[in-house]
Amino acid sequence: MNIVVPIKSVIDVELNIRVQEGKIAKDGMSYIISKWDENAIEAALQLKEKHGGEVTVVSVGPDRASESLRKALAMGADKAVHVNDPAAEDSDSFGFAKILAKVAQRGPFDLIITGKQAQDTDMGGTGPILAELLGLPQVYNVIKLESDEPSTLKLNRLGHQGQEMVELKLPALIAANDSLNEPRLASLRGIMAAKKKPLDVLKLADLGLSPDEVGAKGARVRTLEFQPPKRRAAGKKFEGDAEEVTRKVMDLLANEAKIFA
Amino acid sequence: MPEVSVFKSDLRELEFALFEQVKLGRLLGKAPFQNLSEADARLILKEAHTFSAEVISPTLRESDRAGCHLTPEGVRVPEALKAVWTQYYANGWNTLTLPESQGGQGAPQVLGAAVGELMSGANTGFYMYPGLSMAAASVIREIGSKAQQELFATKIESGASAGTMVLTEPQAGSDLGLITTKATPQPDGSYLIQGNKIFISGGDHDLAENIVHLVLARIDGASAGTRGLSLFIVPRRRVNPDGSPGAPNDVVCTKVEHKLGINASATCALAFGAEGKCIGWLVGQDGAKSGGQEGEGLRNMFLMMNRARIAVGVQSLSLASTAYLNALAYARTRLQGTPLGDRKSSQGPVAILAHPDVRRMLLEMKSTVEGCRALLYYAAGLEDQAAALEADGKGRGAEQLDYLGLFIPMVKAYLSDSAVHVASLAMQVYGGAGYTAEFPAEQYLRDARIFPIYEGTNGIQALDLVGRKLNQNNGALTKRYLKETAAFLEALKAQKGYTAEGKALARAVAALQEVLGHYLKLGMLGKLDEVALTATRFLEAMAKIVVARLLLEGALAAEPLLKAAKPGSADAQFYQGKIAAARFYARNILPTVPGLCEMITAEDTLALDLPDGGFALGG
Repeated sequence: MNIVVPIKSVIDVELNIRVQEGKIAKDGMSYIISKWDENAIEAALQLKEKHGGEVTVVSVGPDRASESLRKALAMGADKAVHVNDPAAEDSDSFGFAKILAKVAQRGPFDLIITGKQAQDTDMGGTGPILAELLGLPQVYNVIKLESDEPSTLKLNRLGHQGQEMVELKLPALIAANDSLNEPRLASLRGIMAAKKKPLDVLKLADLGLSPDEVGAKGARVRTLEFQPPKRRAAGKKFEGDAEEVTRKVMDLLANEAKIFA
Repeated sequence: MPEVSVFKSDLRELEFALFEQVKLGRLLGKAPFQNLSEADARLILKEAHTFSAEVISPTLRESDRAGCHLTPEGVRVPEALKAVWTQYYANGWNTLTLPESQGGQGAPQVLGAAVGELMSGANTGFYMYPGLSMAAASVIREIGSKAQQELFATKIESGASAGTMVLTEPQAGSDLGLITTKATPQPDGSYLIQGNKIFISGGDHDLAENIVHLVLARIDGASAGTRGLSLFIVPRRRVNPDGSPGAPNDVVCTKVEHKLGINASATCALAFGAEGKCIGWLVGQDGAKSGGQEGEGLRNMFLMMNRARIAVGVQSLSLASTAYLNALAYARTRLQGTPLGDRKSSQGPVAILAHPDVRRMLLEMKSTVEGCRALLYYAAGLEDQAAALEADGKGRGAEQLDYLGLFIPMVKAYLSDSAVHVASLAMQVYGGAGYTAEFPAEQYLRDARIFPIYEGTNGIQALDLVGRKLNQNNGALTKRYLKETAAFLEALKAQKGYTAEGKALARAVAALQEVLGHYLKLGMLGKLDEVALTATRFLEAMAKIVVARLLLEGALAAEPLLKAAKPGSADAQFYQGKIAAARFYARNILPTVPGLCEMITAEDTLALDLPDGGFALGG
């Protein structure tokens, strides 16, 4: 089973993210693989371990994206493709999907697994558009995955009202929820083994794309500015006798927060 | 329920220390480190941090509370540690600095120290098991016979076996010459081992299927004192020809100590050969053939001791660093008091980070931690430089290793004393909350308190420095250090804005040189007691000079980077922090050196002259 996993390198969410002049300040930041993409990698590795085949990870981004790709290789992916072209920067979901579609079409594949959304923009647009561009059936927000034979997946997805059980014939695209699995860590052995795995660096031209089709020029969605979220007020801590604390909390919920009104 | 990780590290600072301070990049990609690039090293650091925070750290509090327990089947460690041990080895973290020929990654020691800092900072009690195991394996690799390497070292390197170093006996602590454990030769070339040992870290546990003890013992008829000691491999269970564990080898844990800290680590009393059935092998001996390393026990143990002393430096730094960063995080969020002179402040209470005395404590911790890191990495880097010189055929590696010897007592003693100091300051920042078990500050302080004691007390380190290292090679190591420092002082003069720091360092160096002359005089007069009396103060004085110079070198490396950074940016603030740490150390910590030196040269012999009863009358 050959699987393609697009991943996004995002600012480490544990850092103090700052907004300067309507843009996210990037100095002093470090980057991680967007968390749902790690679930996607893990799902792909488990399928490969079961059915054989290859896992290819793909990322579109500047130089630093290679660090995330090398981590994915260290986790156990077999190949990596890095689309590193300044003209691809500031793409919207549609632009990223176009680039990823071209990368996927470079070789035969059975399955594309994405995260259900990126951890920075929370758009969740790239995966569905990618499936449309490739004419693939797609199942989103997958929380359980079984596969007795390589041609079919049995999936549970978290729907609007509870879980939906789906059987999916490949080729297809699925998107992972973080309850799908527990992503493995990159081991030291994995990091060293990753050095010998191929990491192709491509330009848009290598994919037959012109700079106007993607990036800021080809974008249909424009980000006007970022604003820092309002700071949350400090929480309250209640201590003492359980009964007394419960009464106090109930009183506050009823009379201050008025949640029972 | 796994606990929340309290471990904190500053990867940016670690990267600065590795790549800007030690300039690790110069060694990577070339023999014997041809296998690693700078990008690899950065990824390794990042993933080691993830492993520490996500896998090791959640066991910190739980394993401290649970402790280790003696059962009829042997010692049982806190349950949570077993999965960590398995994953640590499965992920290959123990192989980082092992040579490629032994299935390792051949990484430099300085990268090993950085990764060790992360792993140990997450739970130092746990980290001692793999740390000591790998140190034991490295001794067997270095001086063991081929068969011993196959049977024992390979097993330790895979995590199937653990390893220990077994020196101390009830009557033989700092003075190993008093060891009485005996080794009786057997016709097949093995030895029967008999004796009682105490304070053995990882002496018994259920993390691995076997434990390989490296035991100091005296062969029947060997001379008294340290010269009669030899080093033996004594497994907990005998080994089958394929290395798998066989019958018990009459090594029994008789007690697990109850201690102040590092409760995750089993500190054991071991009885070897109580039933006369404990078999050991002389390290280096090949089967029944004679040879091996008879009477070389202490020298061989020192192969391990030097590593172990650097490892205590790693442990010390690791706790100091996470204690500091935890205190800093607390100081940023704890609201208390108003700005000085603004009692009716309309903003209400401010974060305690705003208070001058808290800032003073935090900067003292920061500069101490970063100074300790600079010293540790400098020392580990000397070993890497030695390896690079040897690989290059220049053959001057031994010189660097001799030089490293000068710094080992300072790494062990100064870093461990600093760990206790910083952990104590960290608790102070928390106030009363830090004294409770709700925050990790109290555990850091408890765990750190053993560091000045074990692997050669800090008093022993000071004697090693003044009694051995200062005069080694006719004082060549000391001369080299003073010469390099004089050159640095010249270079510092040319640097704008470092006049005060340069003067403070020059004054401290001059005072230290005066002490060296004083020691020479005491030596000629045979007043060795007076040298011993002041050795601890000397070590502190010299270590502070070494650390101050390294921090200032780091500041000079940071200056151009600060100029290149955008004002007010995170990068700029980072480099400002580096420079401030160096300046603070030079202005607030280094000035104690002339005072220490004055105490030494004043020949105050009160402590020697006082009759024993003068300390207090009675028994």
